[in-house]
Amino acid sequence: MPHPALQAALDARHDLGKYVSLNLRFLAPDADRAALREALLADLTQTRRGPGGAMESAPEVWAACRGGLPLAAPEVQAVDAAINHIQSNLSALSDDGLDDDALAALAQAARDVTTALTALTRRLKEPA
Amino acid sequence: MARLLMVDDQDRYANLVRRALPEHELVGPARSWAEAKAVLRRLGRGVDVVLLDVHFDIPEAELLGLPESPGPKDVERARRQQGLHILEALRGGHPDLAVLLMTSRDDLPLEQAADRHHAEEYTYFLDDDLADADALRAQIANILAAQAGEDSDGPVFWGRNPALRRIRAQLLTLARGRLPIVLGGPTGTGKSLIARHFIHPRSGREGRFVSVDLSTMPKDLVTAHLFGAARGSYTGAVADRKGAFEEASGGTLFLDEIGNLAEDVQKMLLTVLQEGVVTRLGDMKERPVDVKLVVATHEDLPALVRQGRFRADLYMRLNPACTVSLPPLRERLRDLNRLIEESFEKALAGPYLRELVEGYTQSYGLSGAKLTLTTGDEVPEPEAGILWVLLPQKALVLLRRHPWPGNLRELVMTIENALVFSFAELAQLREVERPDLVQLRPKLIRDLLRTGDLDTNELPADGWRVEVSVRAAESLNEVALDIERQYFTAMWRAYDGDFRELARCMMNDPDCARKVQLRFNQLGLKVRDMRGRAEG
Repeated sequence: MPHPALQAALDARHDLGKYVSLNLRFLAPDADRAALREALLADLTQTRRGPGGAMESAPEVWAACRGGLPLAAPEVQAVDAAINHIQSNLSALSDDGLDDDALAALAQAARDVTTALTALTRRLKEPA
Repeated sequence: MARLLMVDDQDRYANLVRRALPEHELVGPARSWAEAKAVLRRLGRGVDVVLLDVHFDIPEAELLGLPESPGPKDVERARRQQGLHILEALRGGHPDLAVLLMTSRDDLPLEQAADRHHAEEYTYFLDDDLADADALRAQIANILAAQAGEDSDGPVFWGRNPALRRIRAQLLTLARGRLPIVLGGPTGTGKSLIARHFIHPRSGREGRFVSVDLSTMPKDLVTAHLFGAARGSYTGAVADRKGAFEEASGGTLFLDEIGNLAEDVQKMLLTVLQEGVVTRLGDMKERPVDVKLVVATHEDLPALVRQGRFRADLYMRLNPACTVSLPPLRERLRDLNRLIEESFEKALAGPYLRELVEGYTQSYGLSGAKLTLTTGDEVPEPEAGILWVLLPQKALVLLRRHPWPGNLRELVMTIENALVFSFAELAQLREVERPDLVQLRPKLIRDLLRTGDLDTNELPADGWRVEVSVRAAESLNEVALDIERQYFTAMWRAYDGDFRELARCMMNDPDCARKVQLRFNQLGLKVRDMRGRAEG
């Protein structure tokens, strides 16, 4: 079995890192604003189906998997910051109240979550 | 287009793949092993690639890999590694199905799962937190390209045997050239099939494929058959006739069992190869011929040359440096499951079996049902439109242990016989509990294989192969005894407990059965116990 912190990082990477930017990654390079917003809605508000069967948002998934992680790690803090940004923009995203720049910033935050969790997993896998 | 099966408890990936890769058909998502198994059963070999997730948040009852009375941690662990348990279950019946695990390779305890069942080369990884549509498309394209290179060319199945892969590449080159091709290897390895369905279509020639079996043709007819005959050249030659060389001109001429060719005909064949012209029997006129010559033999041609039974100059004309030797079936056992499926399909094309199956399906209201082969110990559930043919694990083991002296031909016959006898037996019963399920019983398979043994009465040239495990013990003597017990047990099973046959195999003398039995006793092996285990 991997070290508990590594296991927690693997879980977070899978449950959140994989899904929080999944639609974004499959978006065509020339996708328009509507397609970008649709991808963000799917990735951030319906990130993953939980064990109970209900769809959970990215902040909800993060809250569920953050506990076992080394909270002082820079990668975890980067995810915290990105999730805070996502959380504060979710309702505006749902109401279609974000302009193009805000949508792009939200997409970047989603990608930052994926990147940080991938980096954390890789770092924890390296021998001390 | 390929058919992809997504096995994932989440819908999102499947929906994305469906949209992003419209060139492929996506089936699923199957949310558990039970759902995946049902799809694989229904589609059989119709699935090209499985996309398999690793984490499955599904109810405990649907999880694989749980211990008895699992605690919450066990359940959580099983959920986190469910993809590996599914992979292992899947490999039981589909050892060569391409599986793309949607996680990076170094995340997984692979030594426990993906590397089992010799499945590593069919297990791929997609680092899914970085992958986008292009990466997935490229990965799938790579998998399909790898499959195309090793799989089938029409009815010719190459499989995973490295020697056969090399042969395929070699034949691709030789087929286009003008030089003859010599196909060697034991009888029944598919030489004729390869000549007709692989070499000829790739020769770039538009003429016919003409095959002559020199082992079955009366010697006095061979000359006229190969080179043609003028009217009146022999009794019964009432008209001019073309020979095989002329018929195949512009195409491919396949001479099977070339070692049977009489010496005077060898001389005539040599002349045709040297001059590129043929002269019909009883005629003076030379006719130009241009054939791609493919010859086959199960004999050792250089040995025949040394014995003076085959002309050295003809042998040299046949391009012996590029002789292609096909491996026996017992060296292709990793592909046995696929070869059984191929044999199953071939057997079903036979008119007698078709008639039996039609009669059976009509009498049970199953007309039009698709015959679907499934292997293993699990009895499939009834499914509309499917007539299951179950080859139980025990029968599969028997097939795996058989030395296959008749090679692929023997395998096809064994499967066809097993189907014919099974359907014929069912047709005689008044009532069948599960009409949609036909079992190829191990006893029937054993009987069919035993008959094959009696026919050949010979051991594999390189001896029997028995798989044993080396287990640590207190002394080397104990280790050696343990190994000896294992191979004695394996041999006893292979010969169905017949000590005379065992003695013939191990000591070349069936009268040594008593000695073999004594050794059994010394090793502490109890026949009664082994028989009980074999029947249980």
